[in-house]
Amino acid sequence: MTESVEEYRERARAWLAAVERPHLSDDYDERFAALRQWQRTLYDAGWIGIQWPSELGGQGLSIRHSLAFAEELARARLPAPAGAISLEVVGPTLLRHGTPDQLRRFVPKLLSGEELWCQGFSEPGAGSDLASLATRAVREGDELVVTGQKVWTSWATSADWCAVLARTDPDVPKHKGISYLLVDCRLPGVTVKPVVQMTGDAEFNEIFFDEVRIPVDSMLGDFGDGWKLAMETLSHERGGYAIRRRLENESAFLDLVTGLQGRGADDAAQLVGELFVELKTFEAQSRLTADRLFAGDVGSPLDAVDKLTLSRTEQHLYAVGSELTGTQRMVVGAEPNGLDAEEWTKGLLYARAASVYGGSAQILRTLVAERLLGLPRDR
Amino acid sequence: MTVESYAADFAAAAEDLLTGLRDAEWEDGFSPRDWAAAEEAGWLDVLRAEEKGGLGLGLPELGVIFRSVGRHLFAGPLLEHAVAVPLVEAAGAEVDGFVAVVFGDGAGTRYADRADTLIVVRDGGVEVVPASAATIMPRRSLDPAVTYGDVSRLPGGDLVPLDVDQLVAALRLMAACELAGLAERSLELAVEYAKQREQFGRPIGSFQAVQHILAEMARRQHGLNALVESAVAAAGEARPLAGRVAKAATALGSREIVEGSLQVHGGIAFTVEHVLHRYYKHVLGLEHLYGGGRELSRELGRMLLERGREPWPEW
Repeated sequence: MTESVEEYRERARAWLAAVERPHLSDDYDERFAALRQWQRTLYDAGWIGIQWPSELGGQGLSIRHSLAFAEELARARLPAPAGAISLEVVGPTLLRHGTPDQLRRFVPKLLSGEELWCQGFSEPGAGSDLASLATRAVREGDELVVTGQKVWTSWATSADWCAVLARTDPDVPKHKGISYLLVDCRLPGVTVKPVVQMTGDAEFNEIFFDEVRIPVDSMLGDFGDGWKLAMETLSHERGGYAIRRRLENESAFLDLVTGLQGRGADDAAQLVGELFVELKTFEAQSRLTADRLFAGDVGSPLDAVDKLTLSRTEQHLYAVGSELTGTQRMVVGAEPNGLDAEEWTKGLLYARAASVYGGSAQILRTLVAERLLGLPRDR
Repeated sequence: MTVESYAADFAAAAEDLLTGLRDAEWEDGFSPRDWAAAEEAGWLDVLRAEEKGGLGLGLPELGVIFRSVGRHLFAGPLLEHAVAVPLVEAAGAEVDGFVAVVFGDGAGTRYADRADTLIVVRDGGVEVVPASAATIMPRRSLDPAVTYGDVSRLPGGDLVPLDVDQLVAALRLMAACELAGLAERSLELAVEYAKQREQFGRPIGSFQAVQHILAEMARRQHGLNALVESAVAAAGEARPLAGRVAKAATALGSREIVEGSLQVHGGIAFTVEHVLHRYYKHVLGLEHLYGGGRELSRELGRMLLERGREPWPEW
């Protein structure tokens, strides 16, 4: 019989309280290596792929079990594993649309962290207008030859595989000629170049494909299915990711309250109270999302609603934290009001990405208007 | 039958009843015919114990009625009669006739002008006094769906001890549901209007500038609906917290949603010929009832900064 969510949560809490915490260095590479090892530790203990099929290395439990673990992980102030993009963004689409051979080949290693994935969607000329992408894949016998450039590819330097959207048919309307390719990042012709972000980290990368040859069956779905699969991937990035990221926001909020404790100036109380109301609203909204995901409702316009709420809440949270560090907000090492200025201001810098990645807030509002509210299209 | 299915039945029945009544057409804050329909439907008995002839149900069931009440802008002292009266009766008091609930100095009390009985909220309990024993000055109301009066020269009464935090929390939660309903209907009206109103040769809802106002309204509405649904289920010591949060969120959120709707409607909604001004006025009144968004947020913030990491009652 399946362990109840509450029993499972108890067991998770006990395990997390006893586990050795990963050491997170300031150095990006060292930190990433530690997070990769952390994924392995979690995987070996059965805490990865919780709602994934057991025959593929998962635990065969429900999304509720998975979310309970994510909650406990965040509450224990332990980090998410290295393969977040693999597990939450690329993985679910792979799981739904992979052939049996692809599932056997890719899923177990994706879960264990032996292979990490990145997502090659955006291009210099195709951001919000993703369907205008120019990376092309030309068939030559049993191979596809991939040429083009991707950008804003998170964690690509550490990735083993890349989910690449490429144009396989230039002669049909732009949404119809795209395919979803699975590209081995170690192949000749693949070059990754880090891009330093305003936080100082190089989580982003450019990734170049120069006549990279892949087997013709290294594709998810069929020729021309790419757009549909990409929208599904992005929906995961919006809905499922938003509810997990919310937990990290909640932990950060607790840090804020702890730092400010006993220094209750009225303006701080006002700001903190308003944030709390917003976070509780997001929490209630996330419960509906969990129900929705549990019921198998994938690709809902409500994913966009969740993502919009995530970006607002996260930006509001870090704006308040950074503001309360006052004139010292840009001073590394300063701790006015019990708050680490660097942490909160870097958080604010990082939070600016939240209304851009996975569909800008403007793209998402248009999506909500058309698909949730049924308003007429503008194009 | 489960609580959830009760709530669903109540929601459907309330929608049916209210759809049959005139929406939002009151001029003087009260319609005897519609009030009779609410009594007939048992709305005033939802919280009353079964042995006292009530339905013995809770805030989740009453909450869905208040959301419908908001959607249809039903006028009348429903917060007073469906929430305060049964809770005060449960504490042992007798409450007769038409009721107003008095906070603080009694200025601008909802429905005081019509009241037979005043429930006066004090520290540690309430006093139940006949309205004839106090001085009540009717005030002109800007909201056609509510009347107001100033209460003064209150006589002393016997204190009926009850948990005032719980009473106020229940009132806040139901006001929050009503606000969420008012906002939801305002959003729907705006979406309908944007699909049908044409300018520059096409529906205004096809313009991104308009779409983005509506999408942001829908995002907020989704959050408010989720929040009130979850908050009404809070019990025990979590309820006062849930009441503060839900009232704070809906106070600020509902007003902004109705203001978005006014903007999308353009000139027409600025006139009394369109129904929206009634929603807006009713929201403005409810926004500050039992605590406004800023005030409640500040209170929550103060409590948080005192408690620090100490865990909150969960709901």
